Amino acid sequence: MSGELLAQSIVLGFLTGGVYALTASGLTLIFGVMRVVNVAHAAMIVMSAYLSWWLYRTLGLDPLLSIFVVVPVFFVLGALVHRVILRRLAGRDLTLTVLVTFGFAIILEGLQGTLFSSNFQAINTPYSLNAFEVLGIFVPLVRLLSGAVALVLLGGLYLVLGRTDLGRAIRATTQDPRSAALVGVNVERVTMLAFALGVSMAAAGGPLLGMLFAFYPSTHWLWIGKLLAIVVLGGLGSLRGAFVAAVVLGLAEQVMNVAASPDWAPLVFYGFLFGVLIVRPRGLFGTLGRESL
Amino acid sequence: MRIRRLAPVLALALFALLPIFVREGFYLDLLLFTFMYAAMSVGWDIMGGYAGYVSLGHVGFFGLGSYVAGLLVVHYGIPVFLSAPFVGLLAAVVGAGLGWISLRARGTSFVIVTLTFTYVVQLLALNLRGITGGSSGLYLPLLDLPGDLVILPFYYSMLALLVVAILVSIAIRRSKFGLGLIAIREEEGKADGSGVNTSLYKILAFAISVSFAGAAGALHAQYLNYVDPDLAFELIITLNLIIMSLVGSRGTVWGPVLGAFILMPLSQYLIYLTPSQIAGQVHLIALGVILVLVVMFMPDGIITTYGTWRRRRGTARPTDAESAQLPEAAA
Amino acid sequence: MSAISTTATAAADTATAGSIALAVDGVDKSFGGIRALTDCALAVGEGSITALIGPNGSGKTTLFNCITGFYQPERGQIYVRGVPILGRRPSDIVHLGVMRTFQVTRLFRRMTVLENMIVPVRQLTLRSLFTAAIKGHERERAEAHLEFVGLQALRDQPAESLSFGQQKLLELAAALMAEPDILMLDEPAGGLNPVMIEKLAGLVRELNTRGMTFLIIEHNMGFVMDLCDPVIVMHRGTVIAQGSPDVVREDPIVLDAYLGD
Repeated sequence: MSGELLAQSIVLGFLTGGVYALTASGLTLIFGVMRVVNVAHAAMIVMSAYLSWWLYRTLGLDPLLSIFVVVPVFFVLGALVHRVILRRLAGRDLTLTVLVTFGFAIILEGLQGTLFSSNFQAINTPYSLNAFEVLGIFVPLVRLLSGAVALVLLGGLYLVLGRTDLGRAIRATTQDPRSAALVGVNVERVTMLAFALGVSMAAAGGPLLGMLFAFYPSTHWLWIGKLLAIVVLGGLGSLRGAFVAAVVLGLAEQVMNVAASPDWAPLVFYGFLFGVLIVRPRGLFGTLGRESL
Repeated sequence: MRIRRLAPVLALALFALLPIFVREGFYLDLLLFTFMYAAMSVGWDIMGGYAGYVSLGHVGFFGLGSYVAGLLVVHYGIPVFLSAPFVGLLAAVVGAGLGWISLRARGTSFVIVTLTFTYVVQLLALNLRGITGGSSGLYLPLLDLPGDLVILPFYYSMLALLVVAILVSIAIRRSKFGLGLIAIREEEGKADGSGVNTSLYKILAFAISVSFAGAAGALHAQYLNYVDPDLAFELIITLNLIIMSLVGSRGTVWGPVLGAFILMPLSQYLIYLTPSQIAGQVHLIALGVILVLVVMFMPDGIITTYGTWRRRRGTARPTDAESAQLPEAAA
Repeated sequence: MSAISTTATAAADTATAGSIALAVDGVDKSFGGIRALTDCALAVGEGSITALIGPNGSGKTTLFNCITGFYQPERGQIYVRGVPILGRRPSDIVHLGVMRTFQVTRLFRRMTVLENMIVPVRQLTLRSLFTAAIKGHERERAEAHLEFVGLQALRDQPAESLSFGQQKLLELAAALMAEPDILMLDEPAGGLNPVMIEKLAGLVRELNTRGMTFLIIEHNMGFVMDLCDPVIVMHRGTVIAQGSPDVVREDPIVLDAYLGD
């Protein structure tokens, strides 16, 4: 591989990694407060991508602007789903919650197939094919835009978690729900808001990923695999870890794309996932299975 | 009491003799799939019900079994009826490896690893084109039997698979091993602190659990005379196993069987009712909705719920229904 | 390794029986920057009923969790009859003959009393794994132990239907099924009424005369002073005193630890 190609891979990998980080942040946030992997996370991303695609096709709304539509919609939907369904399962066998999110994933996939058919879709805007060249590095415009938007949104999430009362409450609940409740945190409400926030992050990722990759109803199984690899590598429940892992894996995937073949690129994710668990059964940062003694 | 003991034997005799009287392919086909799903669901429940660890990856082993058996026929001419038990064994070995990766810690990593395992195998099936035929799939030679008899070997081998699965499940349930698995479900830390090597128990249970999916996949490949990466790894298969087990009752021997006999005909009927171009999608939505509803409103399933209800009415006698209780072993 | 021999000799002086059943040597354990154990060292003499006392948060239960494999210390070593056990999983430590109960009683709540008795295993073999769960001689042993603690009438009841005190007795009886040589009890008398406490003390004494070694965390001083010798005192994650009940009771450092906090 030539030096320029490598440099280009690094830039592209970094930008894609940013989008991965955004979507993984929601997954890790939800795991933090609920101790459950949201199996439907990627299905929500794909749903949001379809919504954005549909808004663009029918109303001509720019996919980047559609983020302002899908995020509030998904936030409300997420809060509702938590209030109506997930809240009732709190305090019971965690596997029940996992099974419900598995059910959500299936329902979303079926809905997408019914509403939008099972064919490939992609969000193609007039600027989708534009690209520019800096120092011999060739960067498609949508990559730069989506990467930049993802970083801005991640920065926003970081501020919310770091600087607001809600953020403090979420972090306290993530560390120890019982202690959080003792110091006056309304754990149920905070969990609902964190879930809704996590779902909104998935929604924000939808248009971005939809501009980068083609999608169809069952794509989410591929994407959830990638996201799980990211959050395991970064340590489930850790936002900063997820960010670093997303960029690392985004890079590795890009290099694999160029060096070997795109066919094998997903193996990078699974390789890291299984590798981490072989060496450290409880994850790199020991956060897996700490649910109880 | 005698009836309870006798009923399974009578049912088995009935199903064994049924093809003499019923010749319609539709019914035999439906029963054959019911047996297959029941067997896999009984297997799923050994892990998901007894030990309480939910696998989202059983279809990965089903697909693995399909491909291995398919390749054995195509390249070496070994018929699946011969290879299926060994394919089941191979699935168990792979399952033990996967269990070693994901079951040494508690909780979430098992869900993650089982879910992703399916894509790893699917990716291999897609990309190792030289061996698997890639996305165009693998054609198995047809069985050399007259058209209306060709279903019979499959019917009987799926029935046999179900019988073996049930016997294994009963044996585990009555053994110290099964008691250890239930202890893990109830209170894993305490089980470990009682001398139960929880990792070993879980890995062993998972290996046994997936072996039925592997063997079923092998038979299924020959039944369709075809394997491809989409057919072999449809997540709806895992979904079916889970729902059957939940509807019937997790952690019981007969729950998954009951669930399969309820859900399979219902699924067929639903697919028959809906227009064919959206039937698959509607089926998917319906199953997802059923899963969510069952988890929310009847997570204990029919058998356990019925048992609890009977005990409340005071007509109790110990039945299979009390999920944590073991039948007295005649020692 | 020299540290362990000094610990061992020091303990041998105080222990009545001479040889060491369980030794903890220089163990550190912290949780996210908070030190729970600092250079903690102690020895439990073979055949003794050793008490482990100390104010709340002094690290007693943390030490129990380290010994039984639930926590991995950052530093130090733990020996069962001279065999280092760090890094082993909890079930392996049971197989070495060390069994424990929990401060908050842990039972398999939806199992019957008898089934709770059958779960603990001292040895793991493939054959024992696939034998009937409740078979003849094991059932007899279980029923004998249940009779020992006075629960035989309740054997087919679900564990969750037992009273608090009965659950504590069941946990003790189930622990006996693993045939431990060393039994570690975490606040066995906590929440029990005086009659039950008297009964518990009798059981411990009886088992001890049959050769079982005990390490007991307890806040009930009457129970400790009557039953245990020696008494080991922990404070802020380390051992500050040990000796016979009378000596410890008079020790100014111990009084300071209890009153100073």
